[in-house]
Amino acid sequence: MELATQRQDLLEKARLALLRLNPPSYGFADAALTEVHVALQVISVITKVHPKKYKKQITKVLQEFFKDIRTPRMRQTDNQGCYNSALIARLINDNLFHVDEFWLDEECMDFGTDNVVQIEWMGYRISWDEYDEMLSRLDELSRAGSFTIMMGILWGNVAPESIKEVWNFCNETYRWNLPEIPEIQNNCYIDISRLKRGLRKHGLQSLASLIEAFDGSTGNAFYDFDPETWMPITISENDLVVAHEAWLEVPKIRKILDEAYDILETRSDVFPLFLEAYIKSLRSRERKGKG
Amino acid sequence: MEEPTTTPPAAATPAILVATLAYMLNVQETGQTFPLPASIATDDNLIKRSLASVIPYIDTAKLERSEPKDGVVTITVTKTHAPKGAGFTGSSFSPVIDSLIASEADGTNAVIRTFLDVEQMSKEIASYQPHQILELKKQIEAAFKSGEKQDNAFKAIVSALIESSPQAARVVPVGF
Repeated sequence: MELATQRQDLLEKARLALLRLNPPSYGFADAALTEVHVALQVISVITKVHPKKYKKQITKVLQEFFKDIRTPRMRQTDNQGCYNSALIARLINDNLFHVDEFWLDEECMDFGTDNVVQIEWMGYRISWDEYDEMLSRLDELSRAGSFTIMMGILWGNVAPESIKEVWNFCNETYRWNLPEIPEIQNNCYIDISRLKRGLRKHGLQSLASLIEAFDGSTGNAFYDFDPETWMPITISENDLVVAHEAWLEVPKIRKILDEAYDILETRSDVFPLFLEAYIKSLRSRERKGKG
Repeated sequence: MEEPTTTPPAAATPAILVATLAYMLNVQETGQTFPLPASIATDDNLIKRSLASVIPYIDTAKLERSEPKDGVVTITVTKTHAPKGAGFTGSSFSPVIDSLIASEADGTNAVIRTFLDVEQMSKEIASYQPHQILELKKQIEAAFKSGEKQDNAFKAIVSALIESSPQAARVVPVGF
C-alpha cells in the first residue's frame, strides 16, 4: 500500500515537472488564471457567509477543480464551455444563490473568458410574447392566471377592439364577478402604498406584491430581473454577497406570492375587491410647470 | 584485487598502420587537397599547429578522418562557426546583451509564471485556509496587473519593430 502511494506521489511529481516545462501562451494562462481567480472569489464569499461549514461545503468541489487546471481548458473548443467553470457555477448555485440553469451546463460556462453569472430569475415578469400567448389560450388558464390578463387590460396591453371580448370571456369563465369593464383614466400611476392599505382591509395585501412582481419592482433582483434588459452579474465579492443576501429574501417573497395565488384561486370576492382598491389607488400625473 | 587496466587514447592510430598509410588533407572550403607527413597527420593537435598560418580558422575547424582506402586516409577540414552574437565590447548590441545576461528574471510573463506556480501547488490550494485563499487571490491580482502591463509593452515593442525601417548594422557580430 505504501509502495503504491509512493509510486503515485512520484508520478504526480513527474507530471508537475513536465507541466512546468511546457508553459502555456499568455492568452491561455490569462484565461485559466481568471478562472482560478473567480473560484477563489467565490470561495472567499462562501467562507464569509458560511464561516462554520464552508470546509464541508466546498472541499470536494475544490479538490475536483484543482485536480487539473490546464487540461479541461485545453479540451474546450470555440464557443464551448469549460468543465472547471461549471464546477464554480455549481459552487455558487449550491452555496450562495441559484444561477440560471444554462449556467450550470459545462458546455456553456466559461469564467475564463467571461466572468459573469446569470441569476435564476423567478419569472413573474411577463414579456409581451408571453402575454400574447396567454391571450391566445384564454380558455386554458387558471383563475389566478386570469388575474394576469386583467392586469394586462388595466395596463393597456390589450388592443382596444379586443378588450370587451377578452374581459367578458374571463369574467364568465373565471368568475370575476365584474360584468362591467372599468373606466381607467389616462396618464395616471399606481400609488402602491395606498393600494396596499386598500387591499389590507380585506386581507388581500399579497396581491400588491404580486403586481410588483409582474412589474419587476419588488426591490429583489431575483424577481425584478429582466433577461432582455439586465446585464448578467460580473463576478466580484461584493456583488456575490449582495446577490446572496437577495437570495435569502426569496423564500419570504415566494410565500407572499403563493398566498396571492391561493387567494385568487379560492376567494370568490377577490376580483371586485381588488379592482375597487386598485382604482382608488390611481393618481393623475401632474405636469410640471403647469398652473 | 583486479589488475589495473589501461585504455588506449581513442584517437590514437595503431603504430603498425602509421608506417604503411599515406595521408591527404582536404580543405573543404577551398577544395584544396595536399599530402601530409604521417608524423604530423596522426595527431590533430599537430595538424592544427602546423597549418595555423595556412588555414587561419583551423583552430576551431572540425577534422574528420576517412577510412583507409588503397592505403590513403583523407583528413577533411571543415570550417565551423564561432558562437553568434555581438562579440566585442564596442558593439552597439553589447549593452542590450549585457542587460539580458545580468537580468535576474527569466522574462516569463507574470501571468504565465503565476499560472505555472498555481498549477504546481494546486492540490494544496484545495485545502487552503481562508487567509491563504486571500493571499493567493492578491498574488493573482498583482500578476494580472503586471502581466497585462508587460504584455502591452511587449506588443508595443513588436509593433514598433514591425513599423521601423531596416538599418544596416555598423558592426558585424562575431560568427557572421
